[in-house]
Amino acid sequence: MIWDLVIDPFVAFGFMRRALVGCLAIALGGTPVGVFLVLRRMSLTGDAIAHAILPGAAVGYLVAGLSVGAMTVGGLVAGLTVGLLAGFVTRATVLREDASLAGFYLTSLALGVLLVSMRGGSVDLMHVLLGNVLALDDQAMVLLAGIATVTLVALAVAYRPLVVDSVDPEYLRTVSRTGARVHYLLLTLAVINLVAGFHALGTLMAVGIMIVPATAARFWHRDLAGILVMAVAIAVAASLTGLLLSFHFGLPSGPAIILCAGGAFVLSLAVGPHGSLLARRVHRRHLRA
Amino acid sequence: MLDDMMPAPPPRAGMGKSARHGTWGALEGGALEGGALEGGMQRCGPAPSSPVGPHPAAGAATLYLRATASLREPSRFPRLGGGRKVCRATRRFLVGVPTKPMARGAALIAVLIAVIAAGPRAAAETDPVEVVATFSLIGDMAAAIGGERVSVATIVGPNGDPHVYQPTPDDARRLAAADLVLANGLGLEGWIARLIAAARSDAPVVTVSDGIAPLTFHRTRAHAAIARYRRCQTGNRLDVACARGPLDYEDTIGTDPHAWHDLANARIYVANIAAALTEADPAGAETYAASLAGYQRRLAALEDTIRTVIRRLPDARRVVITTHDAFGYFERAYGLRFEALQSAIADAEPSAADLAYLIRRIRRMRVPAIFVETTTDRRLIERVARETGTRIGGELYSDALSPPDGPAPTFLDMIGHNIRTIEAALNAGR
Ligand SMILES: [Zn+2]
Repeated sequence: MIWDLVIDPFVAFGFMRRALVGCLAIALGGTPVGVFLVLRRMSLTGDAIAHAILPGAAVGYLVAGLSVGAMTVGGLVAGLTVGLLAGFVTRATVLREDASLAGFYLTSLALGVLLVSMRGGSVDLMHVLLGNVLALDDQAMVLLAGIATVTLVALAVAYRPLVVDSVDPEYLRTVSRTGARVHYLLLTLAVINLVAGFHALGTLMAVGIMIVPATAARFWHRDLAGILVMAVAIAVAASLTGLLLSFHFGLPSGPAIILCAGGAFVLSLAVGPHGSLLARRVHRRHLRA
Repeated sequence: MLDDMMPAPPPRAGMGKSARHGTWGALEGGALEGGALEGGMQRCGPAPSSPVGPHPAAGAATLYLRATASLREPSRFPRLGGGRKVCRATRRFLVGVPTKPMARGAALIAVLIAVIAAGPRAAAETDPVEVVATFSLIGDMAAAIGGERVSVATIVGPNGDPHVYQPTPDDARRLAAADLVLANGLGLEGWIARLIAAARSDAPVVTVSDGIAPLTFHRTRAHAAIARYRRCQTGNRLDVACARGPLDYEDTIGTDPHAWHDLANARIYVANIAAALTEADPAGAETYAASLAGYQRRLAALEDTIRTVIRRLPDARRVVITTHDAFGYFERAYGLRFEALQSAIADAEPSAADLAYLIRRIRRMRVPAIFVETTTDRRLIERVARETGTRIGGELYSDALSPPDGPAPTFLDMIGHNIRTIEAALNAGR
């Protein structure tokens, strides 16, 4: 029974195994980055960067066709340019991060739409730009695994300054220039993980698997290590469940995975032990008693 | 055995697809049926004001054309020629007219001069009929029938996907300058109604598929098959005779627009095109009739080739796997079975269940080759080919021609290329 429902799809079909491994890679690399973004109140930054990547990937496609390499490079260039420019403007002018990011990513998006419509009339580009987790080829798998590895190593090396800067940004800014470096590192990691996720799930869905498990994990742990582990666990569970739902009920895979993560978020919000609706109500009753 | 024959996943609820089709239906029921497409041949005159709002992409063109629209009313120069020829000449002039009211006077004068200078008779001899075709196949047919008497512009060009096209202001301008618009109909060009409304084109719009017997399609062949298995199953037992019975076509969501793959329909297409050209340009009637007769002969010869090729294929190999469900008419006419990964509505994303179903089918039937279509995303079908160890048998052209240097620059080449590709791939390794 369990075998038929859960194991057999992955044994019988290579594309299911590939999809699962691809999702695991994003969960391991992207979700921890998402946790730090959430911690720094930059949840929507991921969304903005994802929009900024789209035109870069489109240009890559227009230049070189359906090639993982060209679309990756295009997405990286566009995402990094927007992310780093926004970070620089935030630190150099009075504009706040969200505003400068909005300015840059909307410009980038408009440029992308313009380029795409000028070419127009060919294979529907949105189709190409929305990656499909069921169609991962060897190149994309290598890219996903490579980016997950790089991300994990970078996070391990920069763990202490990242934590300090995320908890109290003013502190590092006063003692050293590390604060800025940490900020740029996080933006860079967000960009490369979104580019990776773009191949597997499509850009916008990739933001989902990055941020939603991180927001859900906040309700289960107070310490950062706990949140990180919980977020990855939720991302993995959502990937597995989403793929199986897609297999058994014929749902499109990407949205199914993100909806599972969304379900975990709503559940955590309601009954998680820390700061959820239930926890607050119990807490208040304690205070009154 | 039974497990192998029985696909686990239930049919997908019509996510997205039915909704999208609803939009098509609305467009068909509104602007297309009520006005442009069904209206058949309309004489040159002011465009009827359409209730359909202009598409954002064509918004600029709409403004632009609206500013010049009043100039195009024939009542302003009622006695200068009074016929279609004058309209055609003035319209072509006005497409290039600037929008400022100041410029209107100058434009009007230019038009008057042009009309007087050209004269209604002279225009008929020198001007080709301006035909706008919605996509490359129809454009090629129109060029073949019209020859030198027509000048054909195509909205969705070679390798373009007519299902999902986004019109541009340029298209609106070309439509406004056209003498005749040729569309496939059957719900293929969901975008054409908005475009015609935005362009305020007064050219007659002819549906070239008029008179064919339309085929309905279900979500995908896979889903219809899944529905059949469920129907034939009681508890854990499968009624094998029932499961081998005909597919249930109740689960339909609309009309299959790919009628041109049955060459009997293609004959109706070109006949409709010749009739439309004759009405637009009666002086060329003989030319059109002659090229129509020649084209019909070539279609008949091609059809013989197709039947011969398929007759020679062994029964077990008469299965073709493609990316999108475009060959329903071919299947009905020539008896080759087609299975597709995607429904004919190209933007519905296939699920893991669709993929698993197709892979099981291919493994069981020992399909010799899989084909990719030029207008669709090929990544998923390549995954399927890898997974089943099946060869990619080549590219089929289903919804668009190739560029002139490709293997399918004309409709006849396209059909010939498809049948040769299928023949080579299905006969390989026998
Ligand atoms: Zn099609």
